[in-house]
Amino acid sequence: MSEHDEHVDALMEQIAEVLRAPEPAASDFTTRLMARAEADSRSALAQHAAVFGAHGWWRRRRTIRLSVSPLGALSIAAGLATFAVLANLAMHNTRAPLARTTPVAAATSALPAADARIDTVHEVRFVFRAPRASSVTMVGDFNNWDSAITPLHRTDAEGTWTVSVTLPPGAHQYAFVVDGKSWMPDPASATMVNDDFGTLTSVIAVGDAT
Amino acid sequence: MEPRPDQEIIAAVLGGHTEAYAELVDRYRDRCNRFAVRFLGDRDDADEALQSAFLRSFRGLAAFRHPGRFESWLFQIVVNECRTLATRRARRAERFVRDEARSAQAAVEHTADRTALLAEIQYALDQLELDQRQAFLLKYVEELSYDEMSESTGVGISALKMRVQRACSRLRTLLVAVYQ
Repeated sequence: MSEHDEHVDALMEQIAEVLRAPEPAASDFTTRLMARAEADSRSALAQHAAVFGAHGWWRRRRTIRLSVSPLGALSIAAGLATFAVLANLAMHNTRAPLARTTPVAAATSALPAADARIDTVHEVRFVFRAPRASSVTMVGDFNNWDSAITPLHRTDAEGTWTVSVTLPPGAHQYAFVVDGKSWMPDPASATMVNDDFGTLTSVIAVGDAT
Repeated sequence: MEPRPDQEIIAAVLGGHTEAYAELVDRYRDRCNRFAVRFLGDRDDADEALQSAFLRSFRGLAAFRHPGRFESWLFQIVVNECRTLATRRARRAERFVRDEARSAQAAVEHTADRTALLAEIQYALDQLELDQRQAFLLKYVEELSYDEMSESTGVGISALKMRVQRACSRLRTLLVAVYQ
């Protein structure tokens, strides 16, 4: 290390030492946050009840436990997928939305013999039209709102962009980021909310949100 | 009494004891706040970014698959929130004016006053590009390894090293007089 580098490092250490001084959050920080978190919980529950009904079949389905062979599990999975798609179509029997949800039931291939059961995962395919965009990515609570994680791929000359995302059950907020700068809600989304920055964000309810 | 492990608190929250989340907030809020204040250069903005980050973490707990790594995951969200806030709000000009006034005052009081020194350094930090400021704070203040920094930011290690190097070079130019 040269004398110059050593001097720079020593200077940076001096600067960092000052910057490492504690910076406590406001004394009411936790109280304010918990009030919002509690309200958020109530709102999510109310939203789920509005989408699925307080005692809908989604809620009951959670308690189903089956003992099956791997082959049997795959058959049941296919059946569940068909049922879920039909249910989804029944719920959205108006015009076809740009963003389509396709819940897919998948089973693990190596099921323990004593406690075999099926976990349902939901693969949601998002479709977004942006003919003049150079890039489209997704941000949402499922990827920590990081625009680098979930890029959409252009699938035709008309500017249709798609991506499939595996989501856990629940209500998820998301938006599209066009050309790395324009934040846009999903025009096909039935539910939109203002996020913490006052920006319009879409909401998708997936599977059993309890 | 031994503090409860993060995993145990997360299990309690997911089991319906929402109030248990306050334990996680109290545990990590000060460290996160330090990063946010240094990065954004404004306590109100830092508070806003942190409220949003902790709320996003709360909403994402059910989908979080590695409860033993909560702190790292939370910090990742905080870093993203701070960046988002910094890019969405064009307050830099306003802050420069305010801080210039503070900096002039600091010069009068001289650097023996640690608060004034912090203000000088914060002023210099504010003049770095966002990428460089973020990399410098993660490396020198939060003392993360380059692997950890890469995990938190999604940026490659080579690019992070370059950003740290450029940040150091710029800070040296801006602050060398203060330390001479």
